[in-house]
Amino acid sequence: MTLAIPMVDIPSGVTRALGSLKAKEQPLPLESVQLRARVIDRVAEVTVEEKFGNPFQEAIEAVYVFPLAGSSAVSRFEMQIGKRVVRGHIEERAEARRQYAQALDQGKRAALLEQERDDVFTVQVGNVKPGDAVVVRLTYSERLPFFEDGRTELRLPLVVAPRYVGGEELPREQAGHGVVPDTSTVPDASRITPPRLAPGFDPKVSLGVEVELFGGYADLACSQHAVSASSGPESARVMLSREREPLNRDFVLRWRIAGEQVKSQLLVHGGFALLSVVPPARQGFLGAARDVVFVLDRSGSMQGPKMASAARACASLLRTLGPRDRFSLQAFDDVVEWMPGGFQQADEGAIERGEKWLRSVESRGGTELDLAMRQALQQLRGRGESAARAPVVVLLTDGQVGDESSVLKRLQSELGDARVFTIGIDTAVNDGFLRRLAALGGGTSTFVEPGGRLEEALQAVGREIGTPLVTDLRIDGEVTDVAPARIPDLFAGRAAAAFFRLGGGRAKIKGRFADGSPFEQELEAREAPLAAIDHLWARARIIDLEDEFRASRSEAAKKEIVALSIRHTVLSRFTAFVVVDDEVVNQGGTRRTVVQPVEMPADWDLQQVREALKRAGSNSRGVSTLHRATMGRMRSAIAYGYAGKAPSPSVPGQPMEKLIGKLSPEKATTAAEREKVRQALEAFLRTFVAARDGRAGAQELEQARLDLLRALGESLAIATAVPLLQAFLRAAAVELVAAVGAGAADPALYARHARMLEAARDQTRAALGEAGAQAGGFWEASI
Amino acid sequence: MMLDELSDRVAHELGERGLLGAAADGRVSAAPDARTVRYYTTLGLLDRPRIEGRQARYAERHLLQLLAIKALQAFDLPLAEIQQRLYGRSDAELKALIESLAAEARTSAASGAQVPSLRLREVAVEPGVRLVVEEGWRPRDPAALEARIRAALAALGGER
Repeated sequence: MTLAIPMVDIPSGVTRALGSLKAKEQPLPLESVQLRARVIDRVAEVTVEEKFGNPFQEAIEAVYVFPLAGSSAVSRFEMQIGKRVVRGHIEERAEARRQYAQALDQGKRAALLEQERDDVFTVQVGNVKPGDAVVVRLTYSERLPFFEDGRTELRLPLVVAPRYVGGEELPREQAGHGVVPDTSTVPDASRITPPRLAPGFDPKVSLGVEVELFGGYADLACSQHAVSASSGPESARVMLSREREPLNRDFVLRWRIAGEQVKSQLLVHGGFALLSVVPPARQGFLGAARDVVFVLDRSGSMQGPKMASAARACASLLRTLGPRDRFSLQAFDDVVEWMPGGFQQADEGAIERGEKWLRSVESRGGTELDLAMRQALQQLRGRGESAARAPVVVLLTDGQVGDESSVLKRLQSELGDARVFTIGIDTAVNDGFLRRLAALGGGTSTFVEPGGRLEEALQAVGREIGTPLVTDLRIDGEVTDVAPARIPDLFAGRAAAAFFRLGGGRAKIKGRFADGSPFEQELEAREAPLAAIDHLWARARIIDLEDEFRASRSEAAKKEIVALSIRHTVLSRFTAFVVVDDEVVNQGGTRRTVVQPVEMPADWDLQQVREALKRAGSNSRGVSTLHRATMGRMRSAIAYGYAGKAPSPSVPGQPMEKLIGKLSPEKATTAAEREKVRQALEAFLRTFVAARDGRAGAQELEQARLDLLRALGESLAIATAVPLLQAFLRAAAVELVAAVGAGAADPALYARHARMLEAARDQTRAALGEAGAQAGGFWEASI
Repeated sequence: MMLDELSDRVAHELGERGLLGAAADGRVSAAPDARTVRYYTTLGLLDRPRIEGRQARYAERHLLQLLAIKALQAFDLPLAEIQQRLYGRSDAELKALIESLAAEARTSAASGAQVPSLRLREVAVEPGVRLVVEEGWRPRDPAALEARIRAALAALGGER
């Protein structure tokens, strides 16, 4: 059909009225991002090049918050000015930050690379002169997941999506340059929330992606970008076919390793080994009957095609259940809603009811994933009678939360014998987190993009949910330092991997099939040109240690992470790369800091998501406004935390020093004592909020009160430094517990107590040295 | 200062500079509400307010940032262009910009030039393609619209 379209000039008046301002658009510092990946033997080595310019009149510091693949091991960082390349080195994080800040003050060009999450990084490039072009280049490697039929995928994320941040604003300087303030549940929210471009703003960042695949390949498909491919004698090259692609979605390349059936392999290089185990095909394998809890994210960030896709994915997984299985359905945002009736036998009628329920799910609200997972695990624990069925949680989400750490921690302590499987659905998914969640949960993670080939992509997942083929894997031979220490179970058709030091030329892997019969494979080692293998081993080991640190806050684990990170030059949350150029280019060091605004992920609606993700506490339902507290602000110290002395939050009416007295608890207490008080305090604060929201009773509140008093009792120095807390616990809190017990606690009473508690909390945190970045650094909470 | 005080000052300063009535229909609302303020913060156009005793507190820089946003809005600029002009600006640059806009407004008022009242909204469909829509427009027949857009794209393709 042809329609005539009249083309008319629209009188907008804009150009006329703004004639004199036409030329004054301000370019942004980031000029280009170039990614080059080489894939050899199922390991990708990726170089990311970010070029910064300075369109301003004076020196600037450019800040860019960007993503890398969630399982990447970053092993190299350098800065290039003109033709000169300066190599970066890795340091303990606080030290790297100090060196960077010092170089900036001395007027030298410098760059700093920090890791905020498995997949979120910050680069800062300072003293970029007007007209300069400074390139920072980093290299990482990643082991690609693959399947028995040779399917594999490479994911190059290009934008950090908005993440839901709950909790209450912290009474201290912000840790970063982002647009969301640090909160009690996400103490580094300001480091993972870069400003967004308004719709229609072209940031003019040129993007280049080039992937070189060695070895044969087939069925190459790029799900979210137009690409062109060319084949050489030994490798194939894939490139973006359009020049001006916005950085608003993951670059996802999927292909099949061509040739014979993919087998287990043992690759070695420099004393380190990478083992990939492919499970044997088992015809007619029928796992145990399952009780599956589907947890569907319906928060505001799922708005649009994602929500429909997630519901469809859930329905298609529901269809893979057999008549022996049972299921229950949950959808969550900042409240959790269950399909009525609890666990249901997965017969035709129940599945149809489930599908109908799924169709009614609409997106809205915040992403209280921790709450949702807690309830899902409770649901499984509460089954009692059906202990013979395998307990399974299947989470469908974009994973866009800032408090990953609390969710992981909950899983570590409450998982029991359940398994957790994650299905990531987004154009720019939080893959690092969802992989880790599944790894801790003994399950698998799968990623799909909203739209077309969902069912196809999920076919295999339905089969593997809850039913590992082989468990209890271990490796025999001259094998030490296996990472991950607990080798993942084998699921049908999906390879599992482990890294270790290998003395001899072979290793034997042993395990147990579901029916109890033994599984055994013996593998000959093959030397491979994998320089990255020791980085990958170190990264895998660090992930194990991070799990340990999250559970125990162990100083030993932290020390080992730092040592591994520095010895093997692999970035971690406790370390950072810094590079300093010796030339002094900005005498005096004055500069302005410009944070690169980033794209909204494709398919996200900025306005709607903004409402959904709006900070907890700013009048949204179900979230408390209790702990919005005094926030001091010292601009100079704010971003770096290198200023040495932490700004003290003030308690209204009284100077901090007077309250704390001359006694410095820093010296008189041990870290363990402080940590104990800190945890007891946080537990009490949580219980207070829970009681106020009707989720906890007098008994819990009293228990939390006693626990906190007990923790205080163990350190005289802290106990005497927190008179407000002492007073609150011994008087006001007793009254509150009584009122709650009698059902007489009304909002006004809570409000009055909240004010007292806030002051007491601030004083205590200050006494514990938490007011600034000096207390170990904001990064510890992100793990 | 608190938000309402900030809003009052924005309105006052805009009025002083002849920027309030610059848009013919006076649609530029001087008083930004809390939602709008949050949105500007998300875009990095407005610094986060300082929180004192549970209240958001605004300082001179916030005033300048809001004045600049509102002044550009008075000239019917879409937010994307406003962000493009204001991003990363120092206080001094914001001041200079506000004053030059005020001068602009005075000139056009003096010459009696009508700033056209037609307000447009623009969506970037993909790089190189923008959809410009008159404010107040609501889709009536999506199928017919789609057909027209296809025809328009075909017409554009034919031009090359």
